[in-house]
Amino acid sequence: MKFELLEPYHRWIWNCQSCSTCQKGPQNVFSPAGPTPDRICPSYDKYPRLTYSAQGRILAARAFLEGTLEVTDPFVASLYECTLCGSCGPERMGRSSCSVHRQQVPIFRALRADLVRMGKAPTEPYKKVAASIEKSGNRFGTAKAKRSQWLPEGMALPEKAETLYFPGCVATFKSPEIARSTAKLLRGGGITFAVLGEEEWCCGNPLSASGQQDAFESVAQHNMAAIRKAGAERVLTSCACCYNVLNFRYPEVAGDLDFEVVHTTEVLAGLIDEGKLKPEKSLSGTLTYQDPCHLTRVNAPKVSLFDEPRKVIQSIPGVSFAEMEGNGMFTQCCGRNPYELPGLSLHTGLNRIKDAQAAGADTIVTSCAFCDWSLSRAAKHSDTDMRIMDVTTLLAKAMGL
Amino acid sequence: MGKGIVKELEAIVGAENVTDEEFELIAYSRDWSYDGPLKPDIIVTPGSTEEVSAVMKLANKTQTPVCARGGGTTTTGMALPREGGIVLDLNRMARIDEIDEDAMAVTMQAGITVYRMIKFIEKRGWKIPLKPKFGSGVSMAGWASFNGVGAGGSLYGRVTDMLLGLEVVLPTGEIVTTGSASFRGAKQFCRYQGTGPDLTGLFLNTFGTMGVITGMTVRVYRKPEAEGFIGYGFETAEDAQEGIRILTEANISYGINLYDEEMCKIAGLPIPAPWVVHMYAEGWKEEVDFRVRKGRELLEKAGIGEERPKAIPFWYGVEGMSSRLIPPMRTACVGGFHPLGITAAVFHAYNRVGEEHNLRRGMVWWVINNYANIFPIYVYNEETELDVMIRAAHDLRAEWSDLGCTPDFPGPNPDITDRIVPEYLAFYTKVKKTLDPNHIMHRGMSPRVAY
Repeated sequence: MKFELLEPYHRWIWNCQSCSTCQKGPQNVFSPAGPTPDRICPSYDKYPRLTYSAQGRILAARAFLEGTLEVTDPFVASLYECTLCGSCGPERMGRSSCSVHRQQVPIFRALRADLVRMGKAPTEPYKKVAASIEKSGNRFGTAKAKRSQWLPEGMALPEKAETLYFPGCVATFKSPEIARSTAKLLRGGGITFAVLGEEEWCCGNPLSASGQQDAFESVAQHNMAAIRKAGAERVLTSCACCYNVLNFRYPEVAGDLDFEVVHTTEVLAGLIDEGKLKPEKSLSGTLTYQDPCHLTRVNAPKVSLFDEPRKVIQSIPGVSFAEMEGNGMFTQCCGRNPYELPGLSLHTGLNRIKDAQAAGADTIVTSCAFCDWSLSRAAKHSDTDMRIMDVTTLLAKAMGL
Repeated sequence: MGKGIVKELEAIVGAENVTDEEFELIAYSRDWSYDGPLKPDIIVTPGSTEEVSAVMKLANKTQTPVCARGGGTTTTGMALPREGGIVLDLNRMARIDEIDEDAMAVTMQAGITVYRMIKFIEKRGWKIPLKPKFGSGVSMAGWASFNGVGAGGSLYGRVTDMLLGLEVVLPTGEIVTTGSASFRGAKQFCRYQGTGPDLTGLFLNTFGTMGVITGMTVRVYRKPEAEGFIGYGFETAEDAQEGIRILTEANISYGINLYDEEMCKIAGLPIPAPWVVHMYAEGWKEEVDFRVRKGRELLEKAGIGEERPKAIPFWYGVEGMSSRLIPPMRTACVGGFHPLGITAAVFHAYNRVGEEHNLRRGMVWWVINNYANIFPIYVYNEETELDVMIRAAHDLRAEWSDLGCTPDFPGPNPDITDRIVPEYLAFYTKVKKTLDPNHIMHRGMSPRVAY
């Protein structure tokens, strides 16, 4: 079978000049944009060989297209040791420093999808996640009936509303305080919202990311239909991955969206601006913020939610704020995949904790349930007292909710 | 290559740091040059000088070719294994020590990138002499092996001029430290001292052919109080040549660059003129003001050129240079050196060759003390045009050589080796054979030596 999905990227693959920017970043320290972080690619940082960088993977892709390389299991394993965080193709000053011009993530997604079609991928953990989603509608294999257990006690929701809250698998089952805090804040800000309950399936991110296109299309179609049935005009996500997939991957398989996808930080920053949420309870500590890759870099310039979460954090009395090395466009991946890539995820999460320590922070705030999960796991394995909080739980705390 | 050597290498650096998987070899089959694919047989990623030493002893014993690789970002093909063997990826060796303020020097492992090293020392209020602008991954070992340049060359020379000493693993595996630290009890504070000739120089500008640079000490300076900059546009190559001659002779700047118009466009420098000269100054504020004023006065007095107030330094403009080369295009560079007096002739030859081969082109010069380092870029669109590019490079080298230029590396090009004076080549061969008796280091990158 040919690499049909990869082939359209032939020119970009050929255009890779092996310049090493995907491993080291556009490091020019004399640029007006200043120096870039020392670490760029999580995969290359853990496995410091070119094979584990975009450059190495693109050269393999080129060899596949030229028919000079056979697919092997070790290659497949190495290809999946990538979080698709997009750090290999960041822009500075509106310019890409790489001649592949930010096509790396689409290339790797296409290659993975081709390998799945050939029956050579994905790796076992992704197969297991796919099986869980097929069976239970979520990545953890938890019973569908437990989808709404996160709801705050006594909170009744309408069946339909303009705003639909889509907490996602992680905020539902792994970190329900994120979903609960979000619900309380929305209610506090006067926003009426509904949820899909058992009809909310995994957004499909692990399927899309791993190239399991058929399974992805199935969940995308289901969720699209459920959202339409709920009459939602706006879908609000807690997770940057859900946000990314709903916004950018669903239209690829299910046509134009007839609803808007927004992230909690956008809504919360708006409510603070409007004076509808007033955090008055003073908290303490030095906070830093983990920009989720999918809210800043991966979909830039279409999406770049840099200011909104910082506005929320800085509205909280009593705390100080410090930036980590690697933020905004140059944010560092949280590790993202504790199930699929346990080793890489932990390595990357621990690096991020070191970054927060270097910034003098005692708390990492984030706005993605996946980041929260991954970093919390890393914090438990670290020898620090670093706290990890979602921006919603932080704000809810400052509002006494 | 047998599995036996793989096992032995694994015993030296750990199994996780050795691979001979085909897809991994392909990842190392290209660098920033237009050469390749040239695959190694084995990739080794050592973590220490001792490991490099053990690998070299094994390679020498088994007569296995070795190619050391940093960022793989020269345009010379220096990082490519031309006859297979081992690629020694030095990127794990990137530790840097705290600055020795007494010696005004900093010591590091050679796999650290140049920019990361600069970031480290600038955070502490220091600087290195040069301000380079090149690929992100350029390692200190690579920069020294290629004898790279940067803004600052007018005053400070090239990268090899700022090195105080090296730690090198010889092709036969011995670990040697050059510079003042070669004397017992002395730290690394000066390069030339009473124990003999400058053996540091044996390993610089030699493209990895004489040994593996594993560590080095670099002279650092306090960051200057002020920096200044002026940009001038010129109508002809001859005027531009006169402009850089005047500025160089006046000895008022630490860096001078010259660009042709097409390079300005490619690099995004917002001052299109047929030829553009940048002059950089640094020092105390009054001193910088004087130097900039003097440069302006001298050029105005000569009646050539016109100041471009909106000029910006090269390293600002080239941000995102690659993205200006869309739709997909690749570039290739053929560097060299020449006396300032033939600058215009060098450009005309380059332009003529480019026209003959119908290639888009742009050229930048870095002035180094009394001469220029040239970086001409040819741009090509299709894979099939690569052959055209290579023919153009060949023609250009020949034309430039006739003009009195020297190449920036000998590499695998017989047309360059043939132009080396025989007595020099014989002397070089003696040294090379002494250091590398089994000819294992970077085969194909040195002038052709008969083993």
